[in-house]
Amino acid sequence: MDITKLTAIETKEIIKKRELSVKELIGSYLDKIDSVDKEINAFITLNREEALKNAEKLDKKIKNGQSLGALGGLPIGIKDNIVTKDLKTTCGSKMLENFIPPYDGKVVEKIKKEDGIILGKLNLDEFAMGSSTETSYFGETKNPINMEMVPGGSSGGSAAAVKAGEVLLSLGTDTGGSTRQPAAFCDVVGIKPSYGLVSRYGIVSLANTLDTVGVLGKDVEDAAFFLSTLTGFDPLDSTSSESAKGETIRESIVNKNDINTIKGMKVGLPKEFFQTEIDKGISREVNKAIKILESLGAEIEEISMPYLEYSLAVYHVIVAAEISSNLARFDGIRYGHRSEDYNTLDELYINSRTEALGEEVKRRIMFGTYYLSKSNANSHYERALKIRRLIKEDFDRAFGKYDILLSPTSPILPFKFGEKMTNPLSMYKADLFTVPVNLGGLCAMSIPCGYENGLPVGLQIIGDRFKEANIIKAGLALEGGLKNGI
Amino acid sequence: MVTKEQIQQIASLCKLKYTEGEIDEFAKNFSQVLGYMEKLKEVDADNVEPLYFISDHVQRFREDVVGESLQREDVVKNTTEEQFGYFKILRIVE
Amino acid sequence: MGYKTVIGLEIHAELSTETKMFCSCTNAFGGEANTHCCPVCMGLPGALPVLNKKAVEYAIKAGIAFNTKINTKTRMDRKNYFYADLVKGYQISQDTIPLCGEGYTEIEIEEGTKRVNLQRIHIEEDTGKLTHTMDGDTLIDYNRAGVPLIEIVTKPDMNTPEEARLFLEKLRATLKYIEVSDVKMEEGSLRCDVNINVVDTETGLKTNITEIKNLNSFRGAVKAMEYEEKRHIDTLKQGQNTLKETRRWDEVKGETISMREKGDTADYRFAADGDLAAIEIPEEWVNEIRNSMPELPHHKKERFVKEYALSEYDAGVLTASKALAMFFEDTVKLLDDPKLVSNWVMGDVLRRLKDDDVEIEDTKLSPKDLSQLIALVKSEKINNNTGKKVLKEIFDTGKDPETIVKEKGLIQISDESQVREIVEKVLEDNKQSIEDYKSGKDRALGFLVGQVMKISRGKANPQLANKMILDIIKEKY
Repeated sequence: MDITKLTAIETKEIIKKRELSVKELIGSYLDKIDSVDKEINAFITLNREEALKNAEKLDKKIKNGQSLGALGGLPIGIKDNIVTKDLKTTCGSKMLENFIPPYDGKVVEKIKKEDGIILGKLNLDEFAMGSSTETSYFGETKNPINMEMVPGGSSGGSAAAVKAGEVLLSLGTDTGGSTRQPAAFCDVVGIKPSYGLVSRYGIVSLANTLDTVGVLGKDVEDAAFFLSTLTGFDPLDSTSSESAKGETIRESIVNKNDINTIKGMKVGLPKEFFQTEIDKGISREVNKAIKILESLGAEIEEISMPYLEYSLAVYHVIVAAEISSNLARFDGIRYGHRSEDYNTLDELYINSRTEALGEEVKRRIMFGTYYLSKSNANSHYERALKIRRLIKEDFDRAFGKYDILLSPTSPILPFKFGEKMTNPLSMYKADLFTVPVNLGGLCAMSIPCGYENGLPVGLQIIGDRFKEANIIKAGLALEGGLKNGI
Repeated sequence: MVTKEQIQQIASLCKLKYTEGEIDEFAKNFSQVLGYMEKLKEVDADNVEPLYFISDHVQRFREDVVGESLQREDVVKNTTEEQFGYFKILRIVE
Repeated sequence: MGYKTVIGLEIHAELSTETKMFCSCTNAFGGEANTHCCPVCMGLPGALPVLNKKAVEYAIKAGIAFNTKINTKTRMDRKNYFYADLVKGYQISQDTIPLCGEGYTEIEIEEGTKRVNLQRIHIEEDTGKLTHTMDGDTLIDYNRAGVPLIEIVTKPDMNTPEEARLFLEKLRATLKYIEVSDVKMEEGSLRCDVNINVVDTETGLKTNITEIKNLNSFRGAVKAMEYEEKRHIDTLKQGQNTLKETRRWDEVKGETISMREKGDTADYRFAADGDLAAIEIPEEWVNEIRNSMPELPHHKKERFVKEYALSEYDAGVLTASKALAMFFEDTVKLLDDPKLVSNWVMGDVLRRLKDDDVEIEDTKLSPKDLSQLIALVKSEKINNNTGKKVLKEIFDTGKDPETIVKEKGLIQISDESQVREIVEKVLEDNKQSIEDYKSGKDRALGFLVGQVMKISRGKANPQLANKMILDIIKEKY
């Protein structure tokens, strides 16, 4: 039996029954990584020794009759823009090539506390800017479904590692689709929780009013279970919600074979989404999925959300503006790359930043600086924030009537390396359906719903803020429906 | 249209450097993207309050109680130049 | 031909909280370099700020003390710029909505009471400290990074360096009074920038505003302003204008030196800091803070005028420092003659404090001493001049006034026969003065009284001596 084919929930069970030691489990995953990651390149840093040491500790705990935490022994990968104490955190950038954080992010702390085993740090677009994991300083990650294709991004390493069986669960981040889009491209489940549900403390900011942690797993149950171990109010994160509780999510993980939970659920299909240019195969598979949900008792209606069409432009302005400020701390003084070539403080800044930041990162910093500059702040930045409110209000109205909204996760299928790099606007379009969710601070899931030419298609299920229960219920129902051939 | 001078001005604000050729390319690219952003002007948003914060809650305050700081080795360990526990920048002319 | 000087001030005061603005690192001054640092105040990737309640409370206290509006809905903004003492490439500050809006305070100038209006008081975080070594290297200590500050911005309401000094004194005294800042300029917990220019009152021509930075003492600030005032007037006289620039005060050279020209004012790209949520200040909290505050100088001043029937000026001086006001009130409690106590405190006591450059609480004089001393003078046991000598003795030795008077035999001679004996002798010896007096030279009387005091070694009751001289001249000469 290939252990790495099991889900997290199944693996937990066999560890609990002592059919397998944690060390054997971790050993199998490390073997898997050794055999496939040379090609896939999901990992930037492997935490081999530490992982094995921790596995032994857990085995000792089991031997002593102590019970393990919720993630007891499960092999987990962490996107490399989430800080890990004493474990290199690069953000996929030359800037942080040698950066060793002196502290753990809140989610990392929780994983450790729940006895999860951190196998290493996963590849991403540089500073999470991108949709293909091609801009990493540490090389591109390949899509395990088809090695010629990108895994999506920016959490490409996180999605690929789960799909390839290199980890059971992984952490991504999601600012405009960075967890959901690679989940769709790699045929796994990705959940972006509501803004404020999971602490951002220790997540290297891209755009801090949009960023959330994301979770990835083989199926809905795995992803939802993983998420439930990470939620909760964090006094160190001023944007963390005090009402954020893991319990509500755990409760929503109903019996995964009970597909009737969706009965009577009100589902909206934003017509502005479906009217845009979508790959034909994606349209077909998504419509099939919608039919399945309908046959299971969901009440489906088309709705209109007039401000959705401005999402990409609004997103572009806000993200760039926030990036330009968030990435100003990378100046070569206290950490990160410092140029050897400087005579003035200004030269130290300019040369360090110019040498160590990639093209896309610099481009966005430039745009953001422009949008925030005195003469443009009103016409661009403030204006984008105003329309962001209108978009959020569109969602508020929609969720006054519907429990969930549906759309494809991405309008395009996984594409070949280099195909979209030349035209940034076409790359941004890969985020068309995912971006509005971040603008509204909502939760959403990408769930596999079929194939086109051997490439996976993802369905996006969107829920209101802190209504993760709804998207998880719908996800479980669809999964069950697909499995049972409905 | 964004001019080369504007691009240079922006680069100097965010401490980045571009070659002459890159600036030309950039100015073109910039103008193209800004053209796309014109779309935002269609929306009548004059009387809309900008959405500065996505959280619904208001700022919580921290009690004024001293907690632990980092060890100094950890504070300075990621810097290129360090001396006597200080961060160090070599001979810069002001 | 006249010139009007226009001065506005920007003052940064570090708040004396236990912890920093956004993290729980200690806000203690000094410490070994980079030992009061954590991921938050070092701006490490991923770290997030959480606002210190006490810092907000202290800023509100300052707002209340300076009669400002308190904005109950506000937020923190990022001020984006690069400098080696700044850890994040931006400073968390406040832009469009400061915590405290417009306000004012009053200063006592020769012409009377003058109001200085405040533009705003906002909260922000301090930066680290750079040290330049002999080799030209720069060493950076971030212990100070993230220490809470208030920035107080006045309107350009001051018209002389002296007014600016009085305002700074008032500000320092007030912040100390309400216990929100250590206000030590030498430790950098109070820092001041000056904006100054001059208007030709006839032509209306104005010089460009000069900003003076790096002022680390009030004396330096005043000198710098005086220097700039003159420089601006000279420039106008030559039919020229000053540059719009930032200058610094060079204490050694005694002049200001240009730092940089302010061509286009810097573009700080202010934007709301989304790492923090919107800030709401509940009305009840403001009231709670208001009620918990000590009586403010200007309230105390009003009360002194009413309760003790003092002049505005006297009340203003007495309430300028908390300790002095308390000293005055404690003395009045022991000796119920506010006017007399005020005269003593405003006169010889304050003069001595000024000469020694000390606060009343640091001297050997207690309210009990002063009340006893005044009682001795009032009951004519000693005369006024002796009283002054005794006061000096108390300051020097800390002995109580009765002991001093006894030890030195200073009790006033009010016994008529004793005084009469001396007066008769003086008159006998100074016949010419008697003639002078009779021929209308009043000064001669003063001389005669002086002689009596001299012979009695200051102990004779001068009023009695005066009366007796007149009586005896009338009787005998």
